[in-house]
Amino acid sequence: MTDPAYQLPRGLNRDVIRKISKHKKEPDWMLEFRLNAYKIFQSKHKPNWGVDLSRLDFNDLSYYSVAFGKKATWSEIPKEIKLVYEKLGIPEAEQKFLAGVSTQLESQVIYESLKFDLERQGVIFTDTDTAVQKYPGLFRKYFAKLVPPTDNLFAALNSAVWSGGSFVYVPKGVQIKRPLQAYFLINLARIGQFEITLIIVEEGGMAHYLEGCTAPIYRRDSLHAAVVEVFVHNRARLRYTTVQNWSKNVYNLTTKRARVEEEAVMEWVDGNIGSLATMKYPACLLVGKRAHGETLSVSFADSGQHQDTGAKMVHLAKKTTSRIIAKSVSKGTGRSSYRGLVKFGPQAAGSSAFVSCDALILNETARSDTYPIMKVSTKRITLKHEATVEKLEEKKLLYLMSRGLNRSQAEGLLVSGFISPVLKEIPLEYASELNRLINLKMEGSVG
Amino acid sequence: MADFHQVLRPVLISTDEVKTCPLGLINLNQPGNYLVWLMNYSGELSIDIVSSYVRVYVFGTYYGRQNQVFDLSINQRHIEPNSLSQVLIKGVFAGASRFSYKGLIKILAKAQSSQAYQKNQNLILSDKAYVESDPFLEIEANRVVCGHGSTTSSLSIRQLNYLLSRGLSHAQAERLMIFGFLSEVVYQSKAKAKQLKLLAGLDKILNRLKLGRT
Repeated sequence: MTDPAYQLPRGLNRDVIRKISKHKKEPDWMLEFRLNAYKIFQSKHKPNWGVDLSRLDFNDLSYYSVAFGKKATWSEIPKEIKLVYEKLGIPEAEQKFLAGVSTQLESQVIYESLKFDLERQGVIFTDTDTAVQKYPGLFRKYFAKLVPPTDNLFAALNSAVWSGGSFVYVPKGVQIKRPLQAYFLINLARIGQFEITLIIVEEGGMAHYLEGCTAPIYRRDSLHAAVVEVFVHNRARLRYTTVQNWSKNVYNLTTKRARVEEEAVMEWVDGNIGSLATMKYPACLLVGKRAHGETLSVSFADSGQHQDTGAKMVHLAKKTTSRIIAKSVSKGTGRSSYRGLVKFGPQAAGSSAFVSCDALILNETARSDTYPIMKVSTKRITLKHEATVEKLEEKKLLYLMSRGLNRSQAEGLLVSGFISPVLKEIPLEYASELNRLINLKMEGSVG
Repeated sequence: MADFHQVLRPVLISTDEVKTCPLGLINLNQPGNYLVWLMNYSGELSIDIVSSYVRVYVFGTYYGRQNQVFDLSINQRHIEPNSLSQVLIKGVFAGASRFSYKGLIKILAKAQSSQAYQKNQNLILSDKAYVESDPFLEIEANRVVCGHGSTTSSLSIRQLNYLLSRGLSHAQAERLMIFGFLSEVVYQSKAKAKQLKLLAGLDKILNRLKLGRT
């Protein structure tokens, strides 16, 4: 696989793209695809809505082998990140890996036994680069079909310079009970800034894909632009859980989209804690009769952060249903925005959608926005949307403090309660870490 | 709800003690109760609250038929603290009519202790009708109570069947249900006389809609 010492200089041009493709020994069609995407990228402009992108300079980034850039040394990792590792009780080996000091985790053994189990059932769970080489037919059938480079600026950029990401194929009728954790898969080749993740669940299959981790991931390079494409075939089911905690210098601009066929179920569970600015709106295209889409999202914007997250549900077939539950917390000078779309096409008779977004504002300087868009072009549908913005109730705080908690503990408990509807959908070990992390943020000892 | 000192009316339904205001920007710089009635009004309406103790209500009804197009955009800007604003827009859309609602509640950082609500509810009677509802919030203060709701659906088949089973014709039943839906706006007014006048207005609207498939 790739050589960790290999890194391209900063800047983006056709030559850089050729070098990436050559270094990865890609087939010609992929190089062509990349160059074409680069042309599209050049013709597009930064969005004038959402987070402030004026300081993002595309020519000041390194586009390949940037997974860990040059290896950082332990001493240059910011103090507050080390502190969080300590408070979360993460083992030293993992700390170094997350901080980008080491490139391999010791958890490989656990993963190998799981992998054997999966292979026996015909499941493919590998990194995207391997999939291009090993399963070209399957890969090309689905690749860039849902999020083509023409979709948006960052999808075009991703298509031009992508590397890393996961590829999951679940054959007909295979139900995977344990979550597929990208965490175990991580090594230099697999975690990138511009990864493409492609998941295909065939008829009647079931899987739970989990990516990211609650511990802060330190990056020198400041742009993460991923593309995720998910295909859920008839009566299949997929849950995609992301817990994102990038360090506070990262722009996280990700396009996630799922195509949901007849009676299939797609669930996005999304936790956004870190990054400088996030723009991410997981989408479900409900194209089959009785398809169901769901998004549960929780975001926490601390001082200096802007979390612009949300969900999109597009109802394109009869009797489709969807649900969006979004919870956001803003603290300090943080700003959190919910931006969502619910659309009913003319063929969506008998469909229904429910959206609920609640925001909590903790300080006078914090800000919260809600930007829902609802478009209906048929009758016989039901669409409900509600949103509330509130602060922590003084009465509840006083009660908890009268029971012996100090103010920040009481606030932490109330915030935990506020996000618990989403938290309980996340696997236990992640949820408890997330909870601890939010309590740390509430104590003000972090960030 | 208290009686209103002033009734501002972009589009008129009621008549007495009405003070017309120019459309577009409404600047509320005196404490008091204000009321804005809208009926099939298209355009932008900005309400700037630059005084404390303002209570402003915006109520609107829409009924679309054939190829009618309505485009409503309301900004509720809370610039000073301790005020309340409430928007309630209800619409019924038949034929190939189109309605777009764009609402924005903006609460500036110093407008603490504000209360702001917006609600948009729509009934779609035809597969060719189109409704877009975008109720936005931008909140920069933390001591506020703020919420919005939006619903869009067709008439409930269950309720319709119940009315049919009680001997009403299809057209009568539909009309009754739509009347009930829209009259929520009417009952926001406390004065009985005004309510009656408004109900009469609604009745006229429904006659023009030519409901039912008789």
